[in-house]
Amino acid sequence: MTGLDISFYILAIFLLGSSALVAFRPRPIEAALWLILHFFLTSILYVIMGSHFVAIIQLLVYAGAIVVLFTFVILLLNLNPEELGLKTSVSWASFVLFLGGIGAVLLCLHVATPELLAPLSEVERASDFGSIESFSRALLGRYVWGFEVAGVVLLLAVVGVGLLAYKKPKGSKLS
Amino acid sequence: MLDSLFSSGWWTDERILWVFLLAKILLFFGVVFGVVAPVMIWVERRVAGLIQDRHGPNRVGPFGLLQSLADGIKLFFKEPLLPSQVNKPYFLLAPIFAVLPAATAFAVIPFGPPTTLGGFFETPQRLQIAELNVGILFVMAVTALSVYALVLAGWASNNKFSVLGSLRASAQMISYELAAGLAIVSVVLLSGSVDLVGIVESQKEMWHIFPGILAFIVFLPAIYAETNRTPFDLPEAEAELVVGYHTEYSGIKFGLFFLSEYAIMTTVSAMCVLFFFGGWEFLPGLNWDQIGIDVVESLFGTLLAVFWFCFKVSLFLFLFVWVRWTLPRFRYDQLMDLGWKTLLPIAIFNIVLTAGIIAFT
Repeated sequence: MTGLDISFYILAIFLLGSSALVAFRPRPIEAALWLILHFFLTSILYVIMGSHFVAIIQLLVYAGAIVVLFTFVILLLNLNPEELGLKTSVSWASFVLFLGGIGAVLLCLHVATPELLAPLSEVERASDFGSIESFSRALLGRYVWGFEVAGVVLLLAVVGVGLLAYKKPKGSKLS
Repeated sequence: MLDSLFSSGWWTDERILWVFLLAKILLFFGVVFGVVAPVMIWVERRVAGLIQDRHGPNRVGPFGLLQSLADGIKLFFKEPLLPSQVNKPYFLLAPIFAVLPAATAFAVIPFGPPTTLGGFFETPQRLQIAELNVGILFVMAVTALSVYALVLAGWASNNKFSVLGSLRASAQMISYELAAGLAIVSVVLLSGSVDLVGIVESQKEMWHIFPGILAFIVFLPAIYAETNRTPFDLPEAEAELVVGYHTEYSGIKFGLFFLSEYAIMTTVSAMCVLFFFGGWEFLPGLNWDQIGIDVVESLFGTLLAVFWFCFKVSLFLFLFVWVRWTLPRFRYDQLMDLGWKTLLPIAIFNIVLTAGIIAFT
């Protein structure tokens, strides 16, 4: 057990804790705040793996943009837990069941393919692993088609939402 | 004591670097939070007085320079009031969230060229606290996180004006962060680096402001909006929302919000200088080497470069103040129109243009 592994396990406990709180806090905005902490810890996980670029992108895109959008929607709707009729958004029993399921799947995986869940320090990596150069080479080289398809799918989603949300002006002949 | 320390062999190379790092941290944070932010508050009030043809604070100390100190002491010793309707833990957390990103962003900002400090080090050391190779993204990410302080403060205050302020802050942040990010993409294209020192070094021959004028036109309003400064200070609009998200705050908790505003202002001014105005380089097309000053090896040259960088940053800080007391506030729909219908298309067009020019030259 190296220092890296120990820090990984400590981090993992906090990660699980914060993601559980996302599900359990009754007020949506509190859940959003715990989600930010969760993203922070995930990005530290990436740093431990030596992938600084992905770590920063995680913060920038998820914590910096997407959760801001979430909080905007939450504040706009301004729903109280009393109005929603909830004490917590998820019951403990279903959460324990969920965790148990995930744990069982991981255990099966571990038994079937031990190398998949090897400790971090034993994973072999290229010397430039996680640098922005190697990342972009992989993204725009080997995986360029997948990357482009994902872009098109996201664009379609944006256009679709625009279409769904579009309100016809009154008296318009457009159908 | 010191002599024996120096001769005892305690000063190994590694320890010297650690001490140097500590010195950088203390110097940088000390200067920014202890000098720049209070002085900027004073400058803001004096310039406001100048522009509005009145005196501004001029009683405490020479030219009223100690006014910020007096205000700070007053805020510090004020009774910590806690309004009864607030959500206590989050209410107390919000001012801390305001200061944290402001402080963290400084960690990667280089305030001078890599230097040997007049031959003290064998290899040039960076005048930057954390040598992160994705510095530009880090600054963007951390400044984007500053909005949570506003959201949290407004929501925890449990006051409808404050919540409206938070709502505006989050909407504004999403709209303008996109434009600012896309403007920075073209800076990265121009310099071929995401490292802040690398970006400055790529401007030795030509500052990015000339090929990147469109990007700068997008970037400047975007960062004004991100720092919630007039003309984009809708989250605190006094006339409509009292002061929005920090209505319920007083004493040192309010003081922290106030301090973080000026600290963030310093960060984004430094970003402007680093991205578009050549960092510590002398003049566009005329760098320190060409006028015979060695900024790496000689201590004098290094200090000159650091001073020059600080001078440029202070010009941008002054611009912030100047704009605040000159331009009126936008209406909310105008703010959204400007962000989505003007700045964003310009930024996207600029990326295509810059990439095209770089590809074909």
